[in-house]
Amino acid sequence: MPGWQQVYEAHKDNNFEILSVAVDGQGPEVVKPFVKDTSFTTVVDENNQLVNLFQFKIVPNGIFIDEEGTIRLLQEGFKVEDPEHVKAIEQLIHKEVEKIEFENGQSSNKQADFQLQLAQTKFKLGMEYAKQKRNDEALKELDDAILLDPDNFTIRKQRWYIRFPEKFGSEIDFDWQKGQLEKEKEDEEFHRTQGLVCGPDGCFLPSR
Amino acid sequence: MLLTKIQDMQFSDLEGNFVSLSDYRGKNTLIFMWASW
Repeated sequence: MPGWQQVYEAHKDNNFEILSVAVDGQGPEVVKPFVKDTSFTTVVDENNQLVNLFQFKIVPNGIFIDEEGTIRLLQEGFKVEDPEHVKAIEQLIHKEVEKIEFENGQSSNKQADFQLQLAQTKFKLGMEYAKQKRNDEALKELDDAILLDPDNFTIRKQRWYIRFPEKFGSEIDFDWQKGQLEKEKEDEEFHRTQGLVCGPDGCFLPSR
Repeated sequence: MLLTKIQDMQFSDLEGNFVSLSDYRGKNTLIFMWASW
């Protein structure tokens, strides 16, 4: 946020505004400490209106709209730390370009990194719940983690262990694991084609 | 969706006041979406 405050101060006299949108489902009190040194407006998108409209799967994201509300930049993984992203804003303010689109290669790597980090966080949280025998909550976190990081077998096995304890007796049932893996992968692929959205409250299908 | 007009939406700011995207008409605006988690 301090970075965006600098960008804001540099350009606010150029008919430029920032609307900061926190996608925290936990509400304004969680958000306040993060924006205490900013002078632009911050709102909370508790109903995921923007995430659902643009099908963003990660945050942070940037949307640039001009004076008439026309969208001129729409970018997942938008960051003030990326000089190209800041430059894009400046070009749009000065109307040097009609729109900005970034090559996907680099940013999609960053997206993947972000998703893996989120998966790890959810995995850790899930395991904490599991330790406290709160299995329903644990499984919800682990379900999210798997959707974010489908190739992570640590998470998948821990989830099996909690959901199907009977398969982890004195003998490990590898045939069952193989079949179960195929079944889960199919389900996950189906969910992905339905446009799964991962947000602060977990992963879910956009409302119909 | 590039070069189309954004649909109007309403949010609450941190003090509970309503803020609409249409309030930003007439300004170049960066809508920056982020999360504390």
